[in-house]
Amino acid sequence: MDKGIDALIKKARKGNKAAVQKLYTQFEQKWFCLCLRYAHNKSEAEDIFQEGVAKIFQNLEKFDTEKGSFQSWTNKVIINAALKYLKKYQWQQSFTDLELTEDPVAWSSDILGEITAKELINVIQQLPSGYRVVFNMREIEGYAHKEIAEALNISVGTSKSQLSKAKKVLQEKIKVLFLK
Amino acid sequence: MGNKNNNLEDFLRRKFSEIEDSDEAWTKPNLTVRNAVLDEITTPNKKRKKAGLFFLLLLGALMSVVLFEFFKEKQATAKIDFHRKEIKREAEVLDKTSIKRELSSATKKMIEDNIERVEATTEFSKDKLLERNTLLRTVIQNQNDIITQLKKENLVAQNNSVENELVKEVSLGDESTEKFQNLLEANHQLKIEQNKLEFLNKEQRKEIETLSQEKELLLDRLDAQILASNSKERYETTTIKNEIAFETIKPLVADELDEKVVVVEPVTLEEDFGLDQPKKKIEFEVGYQLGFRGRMTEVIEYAEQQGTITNRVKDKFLVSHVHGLNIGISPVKNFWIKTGAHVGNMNLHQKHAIKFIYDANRTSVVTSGAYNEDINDLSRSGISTLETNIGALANAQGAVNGDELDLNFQTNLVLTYLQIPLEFNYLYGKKKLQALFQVGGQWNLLNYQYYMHGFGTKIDNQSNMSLTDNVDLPEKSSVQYWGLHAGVGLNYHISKHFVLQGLLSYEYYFQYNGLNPAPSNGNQIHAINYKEASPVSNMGFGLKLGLNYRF
Repeated sequence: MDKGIDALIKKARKGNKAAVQKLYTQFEQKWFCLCLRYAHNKSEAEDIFQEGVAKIFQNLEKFDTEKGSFQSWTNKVIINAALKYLKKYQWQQSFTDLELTEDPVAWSSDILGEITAKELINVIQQLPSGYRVVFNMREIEGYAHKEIAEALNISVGTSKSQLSKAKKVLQEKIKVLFLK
Repeated sequence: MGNKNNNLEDFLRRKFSEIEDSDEAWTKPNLTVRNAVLDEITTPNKKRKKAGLFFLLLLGALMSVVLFEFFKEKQATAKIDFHRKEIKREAEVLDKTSIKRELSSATKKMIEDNIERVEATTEFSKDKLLERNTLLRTVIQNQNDIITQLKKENLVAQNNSVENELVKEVSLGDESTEKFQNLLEANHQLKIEQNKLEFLNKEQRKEIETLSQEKELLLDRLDAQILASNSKERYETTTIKNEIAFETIKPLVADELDEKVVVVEPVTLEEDFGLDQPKKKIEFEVGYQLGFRGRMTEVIEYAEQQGTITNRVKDKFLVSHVHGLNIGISPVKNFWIKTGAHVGNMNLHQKHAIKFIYDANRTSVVTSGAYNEDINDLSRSGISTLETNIGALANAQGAVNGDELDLNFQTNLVLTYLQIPLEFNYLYGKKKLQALFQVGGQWNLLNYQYYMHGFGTKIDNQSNMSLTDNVDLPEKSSVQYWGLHAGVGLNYHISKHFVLQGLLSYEYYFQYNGLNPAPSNGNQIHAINYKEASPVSNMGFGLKLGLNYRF
């Protein structure tokens, strides 16, 4: 682990405001981008961001350097905040099945290479909440389906199904947007 | 497909990792959110603060409980000490006969303690100082209690008994000077006892003054020790010094004796025998009087027959109404001086008939108080003579000389009087109904009026001569005289201010009733040459009822 981060964490735990600010500045963009992926829009992302960052610093004492990196721990905290937020506001619309086209889109680097990160984020944000969360947790964060199922209180099958559907929706949207 | 998926994951992660280092604005929260987050995370954790506050409160509560228990224990110990002292003090109070001995022994003990303390000042220990101080306080407290108890139980009680005896004796009206002297003697003995106690008090005060001086000396030495000692000893010595300095050495005899014991002074002989009566305030009275006055008439004569006076009006009892206003002053209880103004009137109405011989040559009835040969009418009031000419007689029809004629007429005597009395009343009795005794004098003004009217003449045994004459012949006069009166009656207090009085009195007037020669009239025959000063006698009776207001 970065010794600089470790020192900052120690100081932040003691209430050093400068260390807190420095730690925040260092991870602000990473945390916010994470929020963008889980949120439906930037406004939601900011709400999740506020909740998540507050949780990080409130529970800073609980961070154990030996159990993982600070980055992965904070990501979990942010994701939990996002799940909590989504459960609170959007969970009824989660896991909605969409009508999918029969033709799967082949993921070629040529196609994907033309999509900017911002466009990609927009496409992901347009996914239904359930699809979006499962997709993010599985494809980006690398959670196992079991972990996802436990986190979302759904079955593993549902998680897989949601992921599959999410990919299809994503492909379709990309196709509509970028393959005309 | 798997490769495709892996490619997708890699692609996505790569894309997203790119934006984490991007400078594009959309990849960062806006400034407002940023500030809000920074503000929140840099502010001390509220929960932590709450937890700290809770911990402090808990600690404070625990400390309070501990302190409460500590002081409770200390108070319980102090109560035990206090009760121990109380038991000791009560045991000492029981032995009242050894008061003086205890006082002297206590004094000696204090002096001995004092000597020991002075000797021990060079090597005194803190514990000994405290013990001596406690002992001194105990001794002082005990002696205070003893003296106070003595004063309350003996001196005051005996004093009260003397007071009660005196009150009892005075109320019973016992004039026994022997018993009175005994009480005086007992009172004197009490005063002596009090003086002795005051003397003891002074002695004890002197001793206390000495002890106080020694206490100051001790405190000075403690100060010196404080300066010379280290910090811990200094603290302890300062504490002891403060305790000693805080204690006040009170006099052995409590300050209560400074408040003079009230020794009941015996009443004086004058007070005892009621010779020194308190002065009463002066009272005043105004009132209205209503009553009757009766008087006897004096001589009133008239001619009933020519040449003779046959009827004398005398000793007729006349009754008049009396109205009057009174004012009075009472300089001494039950004694009143009164005056006022009373008025009244009385009437005497009479019919007369006289006979005379008609003579045509005598054409007039002449006046002058008597009658002469011509006269046909006469009446005397006593003051003067009323007379009339009855001219009609000269033409009396049917009458010839020598006929006997009847002459009828009426007289009326009207008396009005004013009386200003000065009288002295004495009321006897202490109840609502009192006996009233009155003596006094008065100045009188008597106005009287006497007149004749209603004349009628006829020849005897014949018809009327139609002779009438209703002209009044008034005679007015007034007299002034002094008089005395005395009476008895009742005085009834209707209320605090209103008094009803009834009085029966006898009056005597110093008026002149003697006869004076009447002025002579040349033609008069059978002249009656006298005149009276008053038509009424110099005696009277009064019956009066008065309503008075006192203030």
